[in-house]
Amino acid sequence: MSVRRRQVLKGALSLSALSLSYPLLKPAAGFAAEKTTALVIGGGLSGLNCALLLSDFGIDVILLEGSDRVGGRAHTADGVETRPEYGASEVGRSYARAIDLCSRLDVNLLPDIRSLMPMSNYVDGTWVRSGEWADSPVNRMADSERELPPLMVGMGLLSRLNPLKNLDDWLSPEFAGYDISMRELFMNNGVSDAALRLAGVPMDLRMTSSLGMMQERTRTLFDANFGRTQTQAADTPFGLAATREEGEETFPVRTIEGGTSRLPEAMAAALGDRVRLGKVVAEIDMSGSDAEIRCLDGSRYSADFVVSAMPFTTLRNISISPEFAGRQAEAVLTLGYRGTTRAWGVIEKPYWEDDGLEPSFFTDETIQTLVVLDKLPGEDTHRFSVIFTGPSSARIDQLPDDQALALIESEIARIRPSTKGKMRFVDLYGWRKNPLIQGCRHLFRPGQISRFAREMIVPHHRLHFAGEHTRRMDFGMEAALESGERAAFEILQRA
Amino acid sequence: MKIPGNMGPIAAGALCAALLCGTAALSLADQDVQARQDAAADETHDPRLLAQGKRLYILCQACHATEADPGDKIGPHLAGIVNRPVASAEGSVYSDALRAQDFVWSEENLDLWLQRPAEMVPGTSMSFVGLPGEELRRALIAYLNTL
Repeated sequence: MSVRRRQVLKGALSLSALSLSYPLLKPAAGFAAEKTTALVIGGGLSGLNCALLLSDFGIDVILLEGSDRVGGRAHTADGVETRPEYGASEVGRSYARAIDLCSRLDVNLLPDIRSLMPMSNYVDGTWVRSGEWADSPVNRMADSERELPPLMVGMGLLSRLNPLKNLDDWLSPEFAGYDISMRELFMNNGVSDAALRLAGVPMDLRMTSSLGMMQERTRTLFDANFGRTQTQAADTPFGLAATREEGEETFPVRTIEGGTSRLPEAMAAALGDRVRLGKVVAEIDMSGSDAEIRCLDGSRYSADFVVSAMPFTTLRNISISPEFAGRQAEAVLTLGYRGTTRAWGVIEKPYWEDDGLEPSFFTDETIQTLVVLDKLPGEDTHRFSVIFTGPSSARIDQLPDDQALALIESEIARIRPSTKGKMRFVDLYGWRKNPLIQGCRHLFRPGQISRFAREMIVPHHRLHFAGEHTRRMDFGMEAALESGERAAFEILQRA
Repeated sequence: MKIPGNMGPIAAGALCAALLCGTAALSLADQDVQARQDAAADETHDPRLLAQGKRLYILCQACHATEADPGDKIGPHLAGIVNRPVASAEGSVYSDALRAQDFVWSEENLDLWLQRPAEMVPGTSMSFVGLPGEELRRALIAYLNTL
């Protein structure tokens, strides 16, 4: 036994020596548990907000983050040309918490004035410009469906069928009938086969609860209309509606100066050494008089309260005692997640001047969506982003990154030869491949909202739940912040 | 939705019960007013209730400043909110629905509002789902009374 212990210690010592260059491998200084009142697991926006609010109220808090950086799905690719945002980028006009945190932490918000350039369509092997789509023979959708641009078919049809008014209506049993797949909802409402097919390109209609997406449309509309006098349409392909009212001076959507990562970094800086990086949690034991937390590196913590600010995809890997039960266990084990994969680059020469099509395009083939962003004053080149969501993301993620990039480039050149040699790729990122997150966001599967949306956030012994998947009212970054605030609120009521 | 006016009836049963020692000569209406004033005075000085109210304010602080300068916060400031006319903070964003109202933020109205803003004034741009516990609302309103 003593020999084994010496070996272990020896191993620990050699790891300590290594830790000079690899601080993440540094084991706990001793094997005694570090005590705190609240232990937050996950250093994304939800965990950081929870920890900040608790410390504001004088609660001792430690935050463990598994990776080597804070921010989670708020991740600016700082070293990359054009500095792409891998994840969150938009701060809506009604994102109270994000706006307030930026103000408090001296992080600047800038108007998001970079607009998407118009989008042609390559459907059934034929190019159709946006203005010709509604009357094109390639458009085989029926009646009023025909006016929807191909990328917007799913969201557009969903908006037309959305009965939700209030931001929390989705949790009301009154609307449980909408907790069916988008495919089923569309079929029940006589949507044409052609529309079903196009709607299924960016979204997995079979695996997506209509009710969950309706909540997001309702929240997006709420943001678009916040503080405005005339009702705004909010059907955008991605994220928030960035349209400006006539004569309006403020911009509806803002971004964080220097990149989204600056916000979580400022939050972590405010928490100081209470944030611990490289701490992958293995076990949470709440069978005794407090919660005992063990990390993969052997470090231990004891806490009165624990906050899971991880996605359920990660919580699933942690040994929890007592185990989750009933619908909460079902939620942790089965909540759906969706991938988003993006490639970024710059346009070396405006290829659309050669082929007469619009710069951006949607296709029902491999590429799904290429968006070209307008130049800002003083910029020489346009930027582009290839966006894969849902099923198209799952497909491209099957390839290693270098192969995926090569395929994306050659496939774009195949369907649109004018692009050949005029696009330069700088980066690719797929959230499904991030081992501590495994998806860009949660996505309720059909029936899951009715099964466990209410039960899944109920505290389990000393364990509370935060993270974008536990939102009640909000969307995007604000959903993460909302959830951290709720978990902090719950703990303050108990502490 | 009927919104009680500032001097309207209140759900004063519990308060009256707590005030059995009140002057018997007062009329019922006077008793109500007296009960409310006494209770408000008590609650303003109940440190436990105020501390709880301050903790509950965590749900409000992202949108609402406690001082008259709202700064960058997206909602109106709450300095002097109790008995302030509705939608009256200068320079604040209000929904048309709230601007169309004509009442005062009495404690009763705040209590009704905090139960579920969207039910009291449909179309409000306050994205707060509501505080279901009556005791919690009492604590929060006691804290609001200090602003």
